[in-house]
Order: sequence, then structure tokens, then C-alpha cells
Amino acid sequence: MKVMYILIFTMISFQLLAVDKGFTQIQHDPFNKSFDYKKFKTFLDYVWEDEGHHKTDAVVILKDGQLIYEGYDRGYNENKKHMYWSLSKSLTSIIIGAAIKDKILSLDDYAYKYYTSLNRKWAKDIKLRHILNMSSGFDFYEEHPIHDVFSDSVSINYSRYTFFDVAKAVAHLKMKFRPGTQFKYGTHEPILAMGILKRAINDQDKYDNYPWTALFNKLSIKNMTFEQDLSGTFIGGAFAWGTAKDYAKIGQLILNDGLWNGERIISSDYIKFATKDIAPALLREDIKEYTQQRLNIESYGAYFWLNKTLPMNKGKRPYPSAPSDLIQAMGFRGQTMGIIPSENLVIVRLGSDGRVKSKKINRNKMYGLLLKSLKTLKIQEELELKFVGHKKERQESTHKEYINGLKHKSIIDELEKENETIIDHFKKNIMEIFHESINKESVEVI
Amino acid sequence: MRLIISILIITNVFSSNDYPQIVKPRKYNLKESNSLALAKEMCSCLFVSKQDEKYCREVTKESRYLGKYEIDHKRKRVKAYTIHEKWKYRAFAEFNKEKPQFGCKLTKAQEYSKIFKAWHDLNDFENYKKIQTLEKKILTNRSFRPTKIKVYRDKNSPKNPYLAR
Repeated sequence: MKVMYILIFTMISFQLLAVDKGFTQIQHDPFNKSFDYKKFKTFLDYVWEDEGHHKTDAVVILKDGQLIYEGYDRGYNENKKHMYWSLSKSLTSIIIGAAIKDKILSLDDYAYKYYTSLNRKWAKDIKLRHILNMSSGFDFYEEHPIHDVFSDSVSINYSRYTFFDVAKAVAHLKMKFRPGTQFKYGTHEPILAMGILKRAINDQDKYDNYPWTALFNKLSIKNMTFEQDLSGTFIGGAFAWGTAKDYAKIGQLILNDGLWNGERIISSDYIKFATKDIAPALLREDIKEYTQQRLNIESYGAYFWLNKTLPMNKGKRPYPSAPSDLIQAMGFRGQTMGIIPSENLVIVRLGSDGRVKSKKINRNKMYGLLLKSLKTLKIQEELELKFVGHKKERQESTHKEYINGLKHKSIIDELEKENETIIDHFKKNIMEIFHESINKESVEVI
Repeated sequence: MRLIISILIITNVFSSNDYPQIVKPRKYNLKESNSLALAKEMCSCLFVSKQDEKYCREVTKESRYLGKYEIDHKRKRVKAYTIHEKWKYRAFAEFNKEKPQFGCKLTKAQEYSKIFKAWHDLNDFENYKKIQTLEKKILTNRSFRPTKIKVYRDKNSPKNPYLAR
């Protein structure tokens, strides 16, 4: 009988220890100065919601340069690295900014000087500024409207013809537009930018250490991983790993206008170019093709998303709950870094959201709830803080417009049929689908 | 000497261009990209982020519809393949132990056997049988290499049983 009691007692104690083991959060000292806790709780309830809509792994908030809040879940902690996905693009932008400050590169450098394969029609006019503004004009589709597996972002990184030197593969892409005329968001551009940096430095050891010597060490970021391809080129589009706190430091560097502890790391001009000026191609009024793709209708700087109005958006800001000075780095599965200069605020949210809209975090709502919880709001402009279905409506309409706007609609129809056989039946008969896909060795998607 | 040089020039030996044609990114290959993505993402998740396998399986869910993987914890390497290892496109990703700041990189992507490619191309039951026997020979005896495969092109021959279903 005693043994039974001991067993039951140990089982209960183990269960008690197991409760909430994964979730940790800390509110740091100056919290009460700026935030109303009751309202902040609503923000936390949304970000850390447990209803299965989105999955948040880490949240870090800096206010006036001080760490206010940090929280971790799902096995993450302040030291465990998280994949940044496309936040790596913004990191690439900052590294290129440092290289420009160090006079290794210039915004008006021609890309063909580093990649001779670009010495051809249209491509020879590509400058570094076009690559940073996502408007070099390559024939590249970041997202496929039907399914991600058909996207160029997958095939450029994960093809046996390209994986060993991805930047070189990008330099061989077909041209579709004249450089600087068409904004086209894509992973290929930061990949090429890091390739250009490699060839500009022209010393593998120096290049390998450059992100650390020029940026990470100066910001005391010690826990960063930046992955390379087989040729030793940083894959600037997606493959950086680090903690939420580390990325918040990048945000603070931008808030500080490129200064860190009194040392200039990036020039003020570059910070303006990357985070304040809209890419000129987005301001053109004669854009005809493909402008309605989801990723190509929001204001953008140099690998940073902006919250400004564009002629094509009829005066609407992409995130009406946030002010127009919002600067964002955004990535797959809900990775977000938001900088609000008017409130001296940086928020980093890392997550593992799903691909379906209902499984993604609503960034507009997140910013709105966070700003609502501030005791004193310095922002002068009007913010929409109701969060009623804005995002859903916007995305659905643009998606339809994009498909309708495609020239080769018949090919899209064919692809849809193809998809039915390849993707939708995965679970039904995996063997059959495998053989079908084998016989269709490769399909051209336009 | 001139003849040798001219032959070398003609055969493009001196060409620095690795890509004979402009790369067409939209010429996708599902099996290939699936294996490469699974190897890379699983390797990074396990050895860069140091997450457990259960979590990494969740974040690589899409690639695992068709793909399978093997982890070599000692070498910090992940091998991934589509459906079955003996079919095409194995991919390897390895963690850089000497310079951990560079994480994982894809090291190899290879076809398993040309015999299988021939089988896929032919899509013919009779040839399938024949190739299967050849394939067994290759797998059992490494020194054996077929020089020629005779192909029967009979329109009335039954199709590949997998595809006939």
C-alpha cells in the first residue's frame, strides 16, 4: 500500500512539473512606464493565442532602446536559434549597407562587372540599387498562385543545377523587364547581392568573416548563423538563423540611424535608401503586368517593407493599424520585425505559422493591439484599430486579379489539371502520383 | 598541337561558363526539389536550431509528403530521398562542424541509377521486367555494368502495371 502511495505521489509531482514547461515570459523593469498592463494583456492573448490559428515561438519588444518584454514557447528560449526565413533579406540589406559604408560597393555599381554572364541585353544595365530595390527585371516568380512547390524560390535554391552556386544561377536568369522599370519581389535578388559582395571582396576568408566583422560583432550578436551554398556564397534570401533578441538589435540599429554605441556602422543615406524611400519602380504609373501579385503591391525599400501609400493602392496603407513610418522585415511562417520610429518601438515576432490564411498571424491586428496598449501615443495620424476582415478581403481580391491578369491563362488551366493529379492526390495514392510525376519529367510554368 | 588546341576550343574545354544555356527556373522537378529541400531543412533544424526531431518533422511536413530522410547524428548529416532511396535524386546536407556559423549546406544531389531513368522513360512492362533483372545484377555485382539495353517497341505490349491502375 505504501508503495502505491509513493507511486501516485511521484506521478502527480511529475505532472505538476510538466505544466507550462515550454512557455516563459519576462517583463523587464521599465515596462510600467510606457505600457498599460491590462491592454498589453490583450496583445499578449492574441500573439500567444492557443486556439490553433497561429504558432508564436518568440516575441521581443524594445522601447526607447530598452528591452521591455521577451517571451518564448515551443522549445525556444533566448539562446535557441530560429530560422529567419525572409528576414534574412533585410539582414542582407544591412550587410550590403555596411559594405557601401566601407566603400567595397557602391549603389551605382553595375552587376555585370562581377558576373560577366550579365553582360547581355537589358541585364548589362542592372545596377546594385536595382537589385536592392527588387527591380532588376529578371523573369522570376517568388510565389506561384496555385502552389508553392511550383515557385521559382523553391527551384532556384533546390535544383541540382543551381544549389552549388545559387548566385551564379541567378546571374543566368532570363530577363523580362528593363532594370528599374518593374518591381518584382523575389529571393533571387538578395542572393545575387551577396554574390556580388563576394566577388567585390574577392577573398574568401574576408568574405566569410565580413558579416561578423562589419555587423554582428559590433552589435554583440554572437549567436548568428548565416548559411552558405557549396561555392561559399551566403544565401542572402532566406537562410539566416538567430534569436529574436539578436534581430531586435538590427531593428534598433535602424532606429539609431546606423549608429551603435557612437560608432557609425551604416551611413545615414543608406538607411534612408533602404527604409524610407519607396523603390522607384513601385511609383511608376505605367506599370502594366503582374503588379497585382500579392507581394508586389505594397510599398518597399531595399529589402524592407514600408507602410506608405502607393498610386496603385488608391491611398490605402497596407497596415492601417500602424503608422506610415512603420518599417518591416517579414518572412515565411509569420516571421516579423516591425520598427515604429514615431514611438521608438521595435517588435520581433518569430513563429511557425501555417500556409493557410487562417493559420497566419494578422500583423495589422498585432501592431494595432500593441499600439493601443501604450500609455501615451505620440503618433499624430489616424490609425484604424478595429481589425475587421481587412487583410482577408485584400488578399483574396489581389489573388484573383493576379490570376486573371496572367497572359497565358490556358497554361494556368493546364497546370491546374496537372495539380489535381500531382498535389491533391498525394494522400490518396502516393505511388501512383510518383509515377505520373516521373513521366512528366519537367513542366514549364508561366 | 594546333589541332589539339582547336579540338579543345571546339569542345568548350576552356569555357568558364558552367551553364550551357540560360537557367530556366520554372523547369521544376518535384522529386529533385523535394529531396534537396528536405535534406537542407531537416539538417538546419536539427543541428543549427538544435530542435528535437519531433519539432523538425512538423516544420518539414510539406517535404515529407513524398520524401524520406535518414539522420547521421555522428557526422551531423541528413540524407533525403523521394519515396525510395533506390529511385532518383538523393540529396545530402551536412552541418559545418569546423565553422558552425555557416550552418548546413547541401553537399550532393545525385541520381541513383541510369537504369531507373531508362525504365521511367520507356514506361513499358516488358522492358520493365528486363530492366528489373539488369538492376538486380547491378545491385548484387558492383563490377557489372550493362553496355546496351535492347528496347522492344511494341504498341500492343502491356503498359507499366503501376500506371495501368
